[in-house]
Amino acid sequence: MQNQEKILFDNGTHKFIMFSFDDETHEDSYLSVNQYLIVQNNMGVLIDPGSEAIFDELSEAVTKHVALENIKYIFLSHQDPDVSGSITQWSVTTPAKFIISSLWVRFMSHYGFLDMGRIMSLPDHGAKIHFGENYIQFVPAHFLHSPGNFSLYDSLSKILFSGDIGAAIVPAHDEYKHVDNFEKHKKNLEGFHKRYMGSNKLCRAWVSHVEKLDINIIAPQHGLLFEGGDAQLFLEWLKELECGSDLLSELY
Amino acid sequence: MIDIQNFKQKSIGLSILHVDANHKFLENSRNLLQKLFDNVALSDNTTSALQILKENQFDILITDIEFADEDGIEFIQELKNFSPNIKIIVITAHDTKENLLKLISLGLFKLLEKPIHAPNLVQTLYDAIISIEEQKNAQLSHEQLEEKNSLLTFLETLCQNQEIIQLHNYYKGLSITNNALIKNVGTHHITFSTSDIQLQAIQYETKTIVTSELLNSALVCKNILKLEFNSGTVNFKDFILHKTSPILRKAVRVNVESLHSVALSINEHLFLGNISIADISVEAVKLELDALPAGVHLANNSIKIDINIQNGLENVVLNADGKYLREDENDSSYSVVFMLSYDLAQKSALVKYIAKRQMELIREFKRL
Ligand SMILES: [Fe+2]
Ligand SMILES: [Fe+2]
Repeated sequence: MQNQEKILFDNGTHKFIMFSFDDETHEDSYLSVNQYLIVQNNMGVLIDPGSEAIFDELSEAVTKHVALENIKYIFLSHQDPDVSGSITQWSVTTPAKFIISSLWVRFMSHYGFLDMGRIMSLPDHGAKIHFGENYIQFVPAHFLHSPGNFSLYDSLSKILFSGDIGAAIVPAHDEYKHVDNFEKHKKNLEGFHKRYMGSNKLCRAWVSHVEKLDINIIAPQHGLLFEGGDAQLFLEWLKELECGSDLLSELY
Repeated sequence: MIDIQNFKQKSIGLSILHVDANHKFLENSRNLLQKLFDNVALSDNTTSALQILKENQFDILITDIEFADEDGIEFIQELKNFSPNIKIIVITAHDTKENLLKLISLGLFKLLEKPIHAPNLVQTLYDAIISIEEQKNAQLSHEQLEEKNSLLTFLETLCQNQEIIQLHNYYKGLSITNNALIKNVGTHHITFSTSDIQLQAIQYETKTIVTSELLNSALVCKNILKLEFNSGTVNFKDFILHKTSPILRKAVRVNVESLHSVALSINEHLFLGNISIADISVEAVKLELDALPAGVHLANNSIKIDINIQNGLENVVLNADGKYLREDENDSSYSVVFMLSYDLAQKSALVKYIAKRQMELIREFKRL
């Protein structure tokens, strides 16, 4: 069995956990998927829980850290199936409220939802949820790649969940999934980012926003974690990246 | 003839004080009054009676107005200062003509002459407690009226400030909730504007629950005057305030229409009546029984519930322990809600079923 769980932060009352449950294994162009869970004082915030196919495994793994009835929020960075495909299952098994960009609220019924009382829609500028002196912040990341897209920053663990930003196409790892040589890792980032991200202008807007945050780890939805200096290197790289509309001529 | 049982029911919580200089009379009275009231006090002089009245709230006073060296009228005048609502029954052998007007102005409830007949006294006491009851009801409806007025002011404020509120309906167990605004509100009508989906749910269910972050309890609207998809509004006749906030369901619940079977055992005895599932969530099931099991109360007994729901290739099989939550009586059946605890291995099929059923109901609802 693969190592499908890694505790990224734990101070006794606050935990940040990474899971790696993949729903399908394509031999080539393998896009590994990470799910995350924050447990703050026995209350859970689940991040991008993924597709229906991994629901059983993931919910079992989550239960080891927090009872399902104590999951208070489920954050969906955007509308993609690898992010939101299991909304129905989670709505059945938890009392959680779903946090998602207001752009996707009207599509919720297609995922099995008519109860808007259980949806907290995020305005474009995002929002903050405070707990004590600390907070969880939903940082705008629009068009990177989804037009209604958010990253999540946890001020206590100093972990930035970046969604599809920082996604890498890498073979499945048995060991701890983190970048150990950024220069070498670039090639795993390039293809995905050039095609999926909106434009350099949008990348810069996001970087200039998150640069102000005190970050220990950047945790993407796909691929490997960026820790310490590698997080800085990644932000520098993204700032200079030409992508999306910058490369229009390649699309037409 | 007044029935003692009936009397006792109405006198629950009421207290009575009897003041008379005649000890023999007081003693007889005590025997009778204790059969009628929970709380009986006696006194043979007005000074100690005043003390008793100052220390405790009494609902009814029986008193003579003739005492050796005290004035019964003054006594009543004085006690009125701190017990303005007490029902006063005067029993006396004294010629009262000169005092009658005074007594009436002091709010005398009834004057009886000595010697007294027990049935007369019982009837008078009964009249007094009915009068107390009526007064309380009148007070209550006055409070209710004030409450409705302040609620109306509150709703008008929500309307003026265009505060976002929530409307809640159910379709076959499925919860449907959307934001809304109050467009218009009066004493006996309220108009909301909301989404088409919610209007559709209101059209289907009629009864609508209204909540707001600013309101502790919820409003319930039951009669539609007008529902218009063009303007996106619904106009209800009247609204009432739920005293307790209604339980808005957290767990997704769906009704079960596919073929299923249920076995219910109470203390290892199989219940033999007809049972079906009204609705189910991962936490609880509502069963429909054609009769309640005789002789046992469901709350304090060991309950086993075995469920099998047909769901394509993989049936939902649940062997659960049930914990009684509540029951409702319907026209020709009973519905009983049990909390479920079962082996985790059985959960997956149930989750799949509810998720699938939820999608099915949404599709069905959208086609309405
Ligand atoms: Fe995506
Ligand atoms: Fe993704």
